Amino acid sequence: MKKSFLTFWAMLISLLAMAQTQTSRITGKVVDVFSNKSVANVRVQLLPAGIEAISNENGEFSLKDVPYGKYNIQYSGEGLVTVTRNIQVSSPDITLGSIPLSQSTGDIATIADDVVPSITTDDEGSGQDNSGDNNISGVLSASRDVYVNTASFTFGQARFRTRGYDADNYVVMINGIPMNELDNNEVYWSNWGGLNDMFRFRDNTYGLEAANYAFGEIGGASNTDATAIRQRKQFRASYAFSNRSYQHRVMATYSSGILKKGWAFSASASYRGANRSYIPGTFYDSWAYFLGASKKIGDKHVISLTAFGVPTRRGKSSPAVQEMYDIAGTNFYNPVWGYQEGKVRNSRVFKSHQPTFIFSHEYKIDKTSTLNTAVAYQFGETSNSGLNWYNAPNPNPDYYRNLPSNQADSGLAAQIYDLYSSSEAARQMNWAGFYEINNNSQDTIYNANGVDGNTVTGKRSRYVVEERVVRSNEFSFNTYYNKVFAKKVEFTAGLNYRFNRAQNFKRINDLLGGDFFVDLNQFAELAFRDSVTNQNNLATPNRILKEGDMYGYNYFYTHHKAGAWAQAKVNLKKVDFFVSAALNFTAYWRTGMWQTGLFPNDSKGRSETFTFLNPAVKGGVTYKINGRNYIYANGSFLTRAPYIFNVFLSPNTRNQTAANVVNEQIGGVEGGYVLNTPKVKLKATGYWTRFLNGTETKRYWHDQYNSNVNQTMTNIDREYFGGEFGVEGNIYKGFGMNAVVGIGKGRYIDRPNVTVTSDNTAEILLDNETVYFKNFYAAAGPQWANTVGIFYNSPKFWFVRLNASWFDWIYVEANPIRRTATAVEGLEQGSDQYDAIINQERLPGQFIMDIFGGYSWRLNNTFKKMKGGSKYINFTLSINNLLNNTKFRTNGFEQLRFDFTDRNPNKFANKYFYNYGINAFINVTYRM
Amino acid sequence: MKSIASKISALLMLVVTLGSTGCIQDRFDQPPVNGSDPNITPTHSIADIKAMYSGTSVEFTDSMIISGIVNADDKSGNFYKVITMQDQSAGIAIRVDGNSLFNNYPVGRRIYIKLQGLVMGEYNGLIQLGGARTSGSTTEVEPIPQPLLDNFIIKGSLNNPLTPQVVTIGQLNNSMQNMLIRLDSVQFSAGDTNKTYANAVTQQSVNLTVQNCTQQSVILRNSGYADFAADKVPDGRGSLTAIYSVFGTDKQFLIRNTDDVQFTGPRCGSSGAPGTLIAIRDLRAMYTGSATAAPAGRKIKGTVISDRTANNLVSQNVIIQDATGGITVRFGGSHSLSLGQEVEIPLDGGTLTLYAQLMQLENMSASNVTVLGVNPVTPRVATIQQINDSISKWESTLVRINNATVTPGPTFGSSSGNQSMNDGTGSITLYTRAAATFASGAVPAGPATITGVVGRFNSTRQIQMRNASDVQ
Repeated sequence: MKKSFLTFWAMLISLLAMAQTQTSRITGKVVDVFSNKSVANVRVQLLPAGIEAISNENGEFSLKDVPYGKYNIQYSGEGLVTVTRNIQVSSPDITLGSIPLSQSTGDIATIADDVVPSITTDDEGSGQDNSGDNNISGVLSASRDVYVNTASFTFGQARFRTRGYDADNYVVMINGIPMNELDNNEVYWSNWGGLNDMFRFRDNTYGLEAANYAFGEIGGASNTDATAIRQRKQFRASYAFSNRSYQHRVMATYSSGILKKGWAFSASASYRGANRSYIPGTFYDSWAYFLGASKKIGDKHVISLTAFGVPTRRGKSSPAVQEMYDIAGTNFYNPVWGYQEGKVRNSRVFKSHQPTFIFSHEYKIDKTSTLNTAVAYQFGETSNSGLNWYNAPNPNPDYYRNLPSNQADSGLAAQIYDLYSSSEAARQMNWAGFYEINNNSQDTIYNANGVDGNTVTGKRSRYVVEERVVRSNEFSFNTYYNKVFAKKVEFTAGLNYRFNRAQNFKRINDLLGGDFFVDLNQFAELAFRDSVTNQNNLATPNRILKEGDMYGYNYFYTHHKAGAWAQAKVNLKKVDFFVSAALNFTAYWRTGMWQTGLFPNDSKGRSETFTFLNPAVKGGVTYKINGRNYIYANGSFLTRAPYIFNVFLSPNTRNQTAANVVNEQIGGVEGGYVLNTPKVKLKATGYWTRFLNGTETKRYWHDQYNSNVNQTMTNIDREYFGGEFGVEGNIYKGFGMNAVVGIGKGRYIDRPNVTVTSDNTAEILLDNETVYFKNFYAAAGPQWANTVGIFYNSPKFWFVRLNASWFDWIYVEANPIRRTATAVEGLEQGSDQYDAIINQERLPGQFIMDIFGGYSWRLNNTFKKMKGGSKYINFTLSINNLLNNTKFRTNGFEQLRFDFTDRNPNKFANKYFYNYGINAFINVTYRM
Repeated sequence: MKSIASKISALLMLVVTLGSTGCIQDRFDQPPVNGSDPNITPTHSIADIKAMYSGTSVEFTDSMIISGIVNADDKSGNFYKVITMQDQSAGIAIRVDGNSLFNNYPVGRRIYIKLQGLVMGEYNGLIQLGGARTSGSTTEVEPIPQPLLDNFIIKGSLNNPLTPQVVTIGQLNNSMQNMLIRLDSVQFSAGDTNKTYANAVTQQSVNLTVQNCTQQSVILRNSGYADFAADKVPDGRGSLTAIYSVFGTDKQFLIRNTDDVQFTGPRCGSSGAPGTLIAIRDLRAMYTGSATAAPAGRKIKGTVISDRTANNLVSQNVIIQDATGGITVRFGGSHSLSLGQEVEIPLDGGTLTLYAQLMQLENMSASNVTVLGVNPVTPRVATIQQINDSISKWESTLVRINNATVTPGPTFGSSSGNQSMNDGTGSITLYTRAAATFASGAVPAGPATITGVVGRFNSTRQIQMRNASDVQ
């Protein structure tokens, strides 16, 4: 015993002795964080040991004879931000590589981000505002597919994306005319919300199935036939009450059915409104109108004219960091509104009215062939309002600098916490403050409007409400010919063309008590102190702006898209198969209307024309085991032109585009099994899809550069694969159950490149850096959704369904900058700080319960003396989130700004969207 | 058709009546804007509060209120994250973590500070208020965060007048910190007159020197972020209105904008008339061969190389030399200009003539001469041969001859003052007036170093000493 005891101690002592005498040499190189140039005379110290070195002209330094141990390594230098890191010294030679340091802005720091408003397009997440109860899932509802039907119905509230795909992968058509926006292929439901009654006849295809009216997109397609002739004779009037995005909905619809002489008419109108929607500060104010007329000409022709529009105003919400949700005491805190004279005023108002006119012609050539043609014209304006400010404090109540977590002193942090948590007005916008500042802001503008000697004096608004407007005109044409041969082969071929010219500009909506605003580019003003570079329009410098005036930027996007496609479907006894092919041609360009001071040679006039030729093929086979069981497999490969939104780096200021503008390649396969019996319906599918060589641009405000900054990722490769399972069965008499699972992973499978440019200069801030994104999640929202439900359909015309759902695998959208070598330079792999920077936050899984029920009351049964056909009153009630789970974050995103100075990922913390708590929708419809 | 039309219109009416909820969040009442002073009485003066500071930061726990008028704001960018204000007794700075503060706290606004909860400290001698003590320091304070400002600062009326206190540089003292001060009759030092206010390119702050005419100076500190940083500073003299501040032992001023610098008058010591300076050589070259009027609007500047006290030239004359040459100036009467003084002489009214072949500037008035200071001239060391060769070019300038032997003597005044001087390269007349104080002095026995002014008398080339020290 004693011997081993002594031996142990001897070994220990000798180990310690070794450790004490072991020293290391640490080398590294100090560089500037953005230019990568070496920095000399940087003092590198090991604390508390006190060993130090100074970097030479090449930025190199070497710390010698450093005893093993744990230290803080500190880098300091004149005009540089001092950086301190942990370092574990346990090997004889340590190479730290390049250590990026940033310029100190110190106590004379630039003041820009306060003075200049931030652009919030991507921080908000495009389209991700809590609007409408019919969101993306609208395309898929009313499908007979057991998976799709339930997925859209139950999973929609959790912002579940089928297969994890982004919203640009579904084509939505009305009367054969695609409704997807040309510049990013997304669908804006606000253009026809409130017209549900007219859009009931929908032909949906999901995934890679063959459609009859178009080649389709990788996620699916739908076409709604809203022609008057298709509607049967009816009259409906309904009233709905809800606490979601709108409170009241009134809708009335009339269809004549086919009348004498072959006419048919339809009309529908609705109003949806809420003084306050579910989230505080939001409101809803939307009308909708629809008129349709059809005429049958002989036996073979039907012509229809359909017109509809949805003039809408909506107050939006914006996601916030968790710290603000906690301070406000609610996960529905909304920073974009404030009180004005006791009333709620929202600064982010969405307005839209884009009337659509479709003329369609159905030609039944003979019993087996038809020709459908549609021509459409759509025009109108969509705008989003927001605050703009000039040389004034940042008005956002959740501005990161004002948050308690950003204060150096804990006492002051506590005081701010107390103020914000106790006073609602303090954490919302201070409208009265804007009016007061504008009122006191007497200023004189010399050479106003570019006229020498024209001096304008008055109250110069420091805060205004502006609207960012898109005014567009679109013309579409689509024709397709369908012929069935011998009842077995269906052949379709089509031609389509779309032309869109959209003007992008902004205008002053409200001067907030001031007399005028001035058209100047604040980003440029802070960088270049002359009176030419800061002009937005050199033709009229120093322009005095009144309410309604256009300013800031003014350019057109012109888009042409033409396509041809053909498809053959063969139905044999045991096997169905199809093959389709398409060829699309896209051309687009930007035309700037104003010559800006920042880019006098590149802003006005037409950019280069981009053209793309995109082939696509699709095919599939279904094997019918018997009438009830079949298995199928489909595959598709296509290329897709990059969206104009991603190609122009800074369309507000210039014609410059991403360096490499290439087509995206998309390929996918799916396969599955379907069981269709009267009692049980089952579908099980597996899918695998890849998107290669994608391009994406995000925009945000960067206060170190006093400028709006564009982050363009290229060579994006993504893979989505997973499975879908749905089963629904009648158990006994009216009872049934359903269960649906959608599970998948959407990830980056390789390392894209990112280039960051500034609106201020043509300088490249980060040039083609590799983003170490492999296996990070690209899909937003829950990637694993499950629901189990029971339902009862009573023979007495009422039904009820109860569903319990679980959503999981929710990852926040990742910021590529955080996964570059620059972001983690000098940090030890696996250290806490390194991990905090690169890890993609996963949000906890959540449980939701929903109930949906209805009753159909045939009035004739009660009032037996009623004449003239059946009259019904339908009641439906749906209550979502029965258990009032207010902790459900359906999505989140990392802010695009990253704190390079201290590498603290929580300085610009993640922002989250919370699902509504318990919410209900009650509808009463009278129909006859 | 009729029934359809009526059905459609009924439908629309139904929707309209049921759906009218008015304009939601469309028309807003405009808030009233307040312009008057609130009903608050300050409990202390700013001087009272500052007196409470004795070396370590002070936390205000009692309910105390001070009031003052904002005397500087950050509109030009020269001030940053600070509000300075003053009352009758003193001025003080308040550190604020916010930008574009001028929107809410412009110069001229009366504000009331509720001190309870704030702290007072210093930054290198400058007393300031802040929101909390800086950890690790006994004297420094943290700025008040923007969201908390309304808790501590009450806004009052706008456009209150501020009268700067007029003092001299010598009167500046610590009790004037953060008050609006006016210095009269000051200018930028000569070395600073070619500069810009600060370095706008590197955005670095610059300390410029402001001085009065008695060589007292203070610092004017300007931020590289100020919108006037790239402007050139004025080179005249006048009044400076600015906020007085300290940094350690440095006394410094900070302007709000360039209107605070009114340096429009002539610099210290310069003559009443502006006049453009011309070189003496150029003036001499203007002589046409007969009496020539000197150019108007011009002046010469040079050093007096003659000594009236030794009386070796008539009392109306003075000899002036600049870098380019020298000239003899003749006034109407005696003058009081002394050897070594740097003077500026406006040429208006003067005439260039030859007096016994010596060029003179006549008809000058001694009262127009401005003495700038003292700037002695170093004599040109030359041989007599060189002097004879350059007699016109070097006329009325100071030379020094080594190894000169003066003959015959015995005194300088002998032979009617015409002695001969020889240094081995040639000879020249050494002329001394009978009235000169050293006329009866003995000429040097052997070779000596003689300093004197080059001159002519008709065909005679001569050197005239100024006084007895010109013989070494």
